[in-house]
Amino acid sequence: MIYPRGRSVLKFYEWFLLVIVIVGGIFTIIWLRSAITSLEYRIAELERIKLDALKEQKRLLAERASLTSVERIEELAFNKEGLHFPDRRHVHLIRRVDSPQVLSVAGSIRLDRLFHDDGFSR
Amino acid sequence: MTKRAVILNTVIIVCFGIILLRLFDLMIINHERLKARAEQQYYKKERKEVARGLILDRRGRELALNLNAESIYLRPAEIESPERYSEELARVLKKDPEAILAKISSGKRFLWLERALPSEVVEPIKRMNLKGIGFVEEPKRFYPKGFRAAHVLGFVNIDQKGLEGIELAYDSQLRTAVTRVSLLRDANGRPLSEGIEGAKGNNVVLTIDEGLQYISEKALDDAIKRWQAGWGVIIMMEPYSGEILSMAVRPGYDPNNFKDFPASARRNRAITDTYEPGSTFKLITAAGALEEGIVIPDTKIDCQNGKIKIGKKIIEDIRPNGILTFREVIERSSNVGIIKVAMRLGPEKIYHYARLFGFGSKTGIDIPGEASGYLRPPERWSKQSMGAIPLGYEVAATPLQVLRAYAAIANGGFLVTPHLVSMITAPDGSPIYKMRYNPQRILSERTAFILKEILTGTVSREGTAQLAGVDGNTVAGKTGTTRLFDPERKTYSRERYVSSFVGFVPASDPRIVAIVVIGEPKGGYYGGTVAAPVFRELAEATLAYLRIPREDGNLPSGFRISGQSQRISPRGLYETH
Repeated sequence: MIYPRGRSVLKFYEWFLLVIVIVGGIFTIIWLRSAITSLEYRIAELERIKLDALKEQKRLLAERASLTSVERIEELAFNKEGLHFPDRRHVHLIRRVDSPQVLSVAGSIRLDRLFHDDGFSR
Repeated sequence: MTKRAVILNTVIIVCFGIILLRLFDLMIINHERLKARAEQQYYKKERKEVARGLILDRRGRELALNLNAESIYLRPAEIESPERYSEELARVLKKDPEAILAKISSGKRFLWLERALPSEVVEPIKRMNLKGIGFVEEPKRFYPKGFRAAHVLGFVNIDQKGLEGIELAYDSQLRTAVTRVSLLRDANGRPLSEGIEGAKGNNVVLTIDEGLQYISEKALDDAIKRWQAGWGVIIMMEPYSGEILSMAVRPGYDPNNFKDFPASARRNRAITDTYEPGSTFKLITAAGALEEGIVIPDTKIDCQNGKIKIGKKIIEDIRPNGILTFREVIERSSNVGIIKVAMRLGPEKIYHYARLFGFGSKTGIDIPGEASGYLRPPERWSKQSMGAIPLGYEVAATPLQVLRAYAAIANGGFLVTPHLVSMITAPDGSPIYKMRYNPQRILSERTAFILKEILTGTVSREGTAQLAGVDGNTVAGKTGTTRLFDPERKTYSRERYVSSFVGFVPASDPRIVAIVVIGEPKGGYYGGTVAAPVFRELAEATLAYLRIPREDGNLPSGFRISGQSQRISPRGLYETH
């Protein structure tokens, strides 16, 4: 059987391209699969780090809850800072006209410290 | 084409044919079986314990949360040298090696060695690399406030199942379900993805305020120490909505180590234990008489110098009284006066009003173990009952039932449903369910108003509860003193008492209603002496904490009040959660 010369050359390139595409495709799939696996390992590693961070967060949350207990704060305020509850007679709740927020004013005032000797306010 | 080319082509075609056939076998014929086998290799089904949701107070402060812990299990069949294992494990765990050896030699396929241990204990064992020993991560419930509100919170067992209190009542919400997750793993069995965004239980937001709970428990501890009392209860409630603000019970326990405490210390006496409410129960007769128009506050009643005979029994007043008005009968807690009013009201009406106020039935509080109390119908009353029931004897009630009855006076005549949970939220904080309880009117506003005014007199005028008075605010309430029944002598004891005070403040616009019950005090027993001062201490601290202003307008010169202070909303003490 006799084939025209030009057609035979073209067929050779077709075969060559086909092989390149198939081999390239196979390598691409293998490379992708390998990249995905590496990525999964990386994700697993990050998840482990996240898990550790979440554990630490839980521990810190528990510690914060213990440290902010009203009992402990009162003990620190009384025994360490020397604070005391104000006399209710010296606590006045004032509502601002322009704001719905309730403000509390606490403490006792010595009136003589508010005025100069001449009777004018400081 | 040459012969060799034909052979080569044929070989190639046959090879490809074989490959195609094999592919057909793998992908079509045996696809399902091979797929399942592959999945079995790649995926690992793992049981994941769902972390319980948080329990928060009304201001979002954590009362119960989870820590990570690890449990150690044994596969005895795989252990080659039980003696060596038991010695090494016992050294780290500080346990008896014999006990561990007994476990290893049990012949079982699987058993727990230790549950919920901290990581620092487990790490050295992991480093030993012992065959036949495995580790499982598990959440462990932690109550950061220790004893605080323990009876409300309850506790969980080692498997994170609620056993008491809120933990038990809302177990299904807090725990949701144990899930099984599929983890992708490599050829060596190492997991590729942890799937850590696992399921979490919902959070439960309580009506309890940690600050008020602390105030209540501190006041109760002080009172129990001062009076060397056997037990005590303080409950504080928002009178309009029935939200429990604090529930303090002594003896107490630490839910982190609940096994170290006796069952009696773990009992929530505020709802499980009943007592005879004594004079605090006079409210029922008073409310019924006013509602039925039998008396008005100024109706005069002859108290017969403090003695009256009912059946074979003579009932006496603590102090002999002559003619008193109805108002004075309540203020001075005259037994004779209230019995005379009760006789005019009649047993049926007394029973009717007692039931109306919720005595003899559960309040419906949302934690388990509530007692319904004891209230006999009139046909089962004895001849002496008329001299006992109006005075709060022959009736058994929980402290919560008594508190609820007084809340009905404080809020203008509505019976509320006490409750401890205000909201259930998803793990991300979004609300899932908000509690709604509709109060039910049981008294006219007029009767509630009159009773409120009379109960104010109990504290501020010549009443029995003057020690409950708070500087700057009016208090309304009633004392109660009850002898405990001695089952051995089959009579009421003269040594063992229950002292109580129940009241609300500020009387004109009640923000809180609270009950103080001190069981078996020594050195004093009158409600006005033992319980009323505890209420004052409690009320003063609570009013300051909630920033409720004084009513007397006692301001320094130059100051003036220009507007209303923060006002209670019908649905709660706080405008926001």
